Amino acid sequence: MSRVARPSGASNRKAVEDSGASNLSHSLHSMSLQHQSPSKPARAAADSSPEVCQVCKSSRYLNQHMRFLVNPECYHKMCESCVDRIFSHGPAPCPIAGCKKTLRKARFRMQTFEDLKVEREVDIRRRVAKVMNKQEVDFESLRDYNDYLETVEEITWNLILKIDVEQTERRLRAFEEAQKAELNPNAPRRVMNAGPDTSTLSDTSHVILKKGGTQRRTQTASSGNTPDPSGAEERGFSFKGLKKRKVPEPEKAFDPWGGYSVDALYYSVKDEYDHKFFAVKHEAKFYASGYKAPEYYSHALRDAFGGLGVFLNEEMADLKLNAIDVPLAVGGGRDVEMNDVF
Amino acid sequence: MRVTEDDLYRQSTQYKHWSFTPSRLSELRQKTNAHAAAQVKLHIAGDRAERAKRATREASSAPESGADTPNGNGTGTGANTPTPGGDVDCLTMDEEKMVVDKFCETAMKLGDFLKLQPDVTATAIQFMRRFYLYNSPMTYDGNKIAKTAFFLALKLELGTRAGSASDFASRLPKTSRDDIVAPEYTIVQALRFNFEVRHPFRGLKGVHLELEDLVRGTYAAPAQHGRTPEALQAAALQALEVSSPDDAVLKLGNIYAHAKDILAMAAQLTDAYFLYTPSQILLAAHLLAAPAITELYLTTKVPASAPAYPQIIGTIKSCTDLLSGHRSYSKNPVAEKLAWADTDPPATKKAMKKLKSCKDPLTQDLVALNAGKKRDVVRDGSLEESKAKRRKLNRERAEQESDAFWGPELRGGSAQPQRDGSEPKKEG
Repeated sequence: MSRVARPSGASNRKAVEDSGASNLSHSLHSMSLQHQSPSKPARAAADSSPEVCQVCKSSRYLNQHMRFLVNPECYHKMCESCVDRIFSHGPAPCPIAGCKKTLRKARFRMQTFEDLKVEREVDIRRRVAKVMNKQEVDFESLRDYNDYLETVEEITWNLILKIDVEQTERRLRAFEEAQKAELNPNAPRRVMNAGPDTSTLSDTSHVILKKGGTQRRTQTASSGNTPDPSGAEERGFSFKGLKKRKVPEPEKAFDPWGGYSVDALYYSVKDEYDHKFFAVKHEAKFYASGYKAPEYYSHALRDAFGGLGVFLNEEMADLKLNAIDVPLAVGGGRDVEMNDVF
Repeated sequence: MRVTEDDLYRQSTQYKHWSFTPSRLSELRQKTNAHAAAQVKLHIAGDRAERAKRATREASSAPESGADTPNGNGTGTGANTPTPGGDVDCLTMDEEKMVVDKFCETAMKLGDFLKLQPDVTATAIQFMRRFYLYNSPMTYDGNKIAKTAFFLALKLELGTRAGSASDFASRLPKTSRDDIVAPEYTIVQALRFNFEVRHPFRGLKGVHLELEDLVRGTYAAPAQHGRTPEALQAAALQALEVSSPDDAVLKLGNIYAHAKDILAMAAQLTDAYFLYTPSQILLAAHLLAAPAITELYLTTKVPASAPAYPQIIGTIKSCTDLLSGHRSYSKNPVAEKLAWADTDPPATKKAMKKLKSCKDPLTQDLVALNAGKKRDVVRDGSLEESKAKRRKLNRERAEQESDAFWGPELRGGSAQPQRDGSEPKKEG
């Protein structure tokens, strides 16, 4: 902020601009790093080099703008042009040998972490945390909350370590559905209607797995929602001490008068009066701008009787209301001066 | 919560700040008069002393001439009247009231001359009446105040269609824009920024609407007492002394016009607005125009047996006395509406003549006064010393504060730092 800081800030910005401007030096830098670590080549060879696409075998050495993408279904890396080529025409199986996951182009993305295991764990944790979003205030006691946290961690690790994935996923989805239903009980629930049809899961589940992610998810979700003998199974999880959500009171209709209403003593307004002097009452050009004859009638009658029962002779005698000549120098003297800013 | 129309009226500034009992009203006028008289005497004495001093200075060199008085044109100020020494004879409270009424009559003629709508004129006159409750006609000249009051009323009633001050000034003879604008703030301040004036005109139309219903037999009254609309219709026709509803409607039109004239003149030129509510005023005017039908109409609103009835009728009757007591009132509608205003009563004439000798010399040139009040206007070569000093201090402090926010000033740089919004950003 200060004047002294300014030049240094400016030079900083300049440095940043300089470094950002030349990609060449950056790539040279990274290449030199590769050369400087002679202990790594063995591992790099085992990974068949991160710089080579596993699908088309093209190397970044030949195309320096090459980007590698992963899909969170299976976390197999491939280059951008392969993704374009294989998945442009819709979902397709993963081209890596042995992986039969169906992938979609939209879900491919640049990886954030260098280690794909970390990437996957972060993804799983994010997904679990989105569903399991209870807070301490939602529980009866701290003990219940801690139990809940432990359960959440267990679920997370089950998913990460691929233990009981099928069941855990199903329960997780059931829980999510239950939460949603609780939040918005009036929302149309398509899944419930489709539920009974897919209740038999024995051999069809394999086929379903080969289908697209979304389709599979709805299928499993619906299977999770099928009427189960135990209520806990239907809700996915049940936590001890979890408070029932209180439905907020529906908002009342807005009243611009704040609860007041005019209750006339001396008149009642009719919608229509038979008279000549107010001839414009039925012309469209007056209606168009929002003018209404009934408004005028009620205004006129309110004016006619507003204050009929107000007797100033009495009310002003004991009232201090009009004694406002306090701060104003009145009576022909000096006027109150205008407020002088400077 | 339910409120009645009376409660609604109690919320208005007219009720809160501009309604009085007769005694409070005269008390207030007395106070204003006493204060103004003291000021006038003080200022005229000071003015005379100064003139005397200058006269002795110039006595040797130049022959006596009254041309270079401080007030330019040199007309109408008490200082110019040839009454050296002698005590200044100020207006009394009653004379002041007469003078204000005269000003209002002149304003009414002005509105007629400008062909303004009646409610604009009425608003302007009420502004003047309110203004002269707290200011004296000795201090501020009525004709100057009237022009600005009209301009304010125009702006209030017509909004953006009112036009600018120069437009308005061009419609008046011998008036510049500055004449219109100069007293504006003074007036608005005396009005306490209460611009709303509740007029009885729209209410009169409401009454007219219901009366037409009454004579047509389609009227539903709140206090019918078993009287059918047909019975009420018969009673109304009898009260109007006509046989058919169509004649009755015609007659009601005449009654409406007469009542409106009373409201536009007598109600404006008396203290009716200060002492009664618009509803009472309009019913009083209607009662003057057509007593029988109005009384019938009132009994349909408030039954004669109701406890409030005598008081309501009493209040309306006393308002009737006030309105009919004004010299503009005539029993039957007349074509030449402002004819009564051509001749002034002798007492008013005398008061107007007396006013000429007791005007406050300090407040006669409102344009110069207004210019002096404005910021940084250089008077006599320099600002008042204390004011200048205060402004300088404030300015310095403000600069320091802005430094604290934007960082200290660039020192030793070649370019002058810019002190406006377009200062270059200090961080990248």
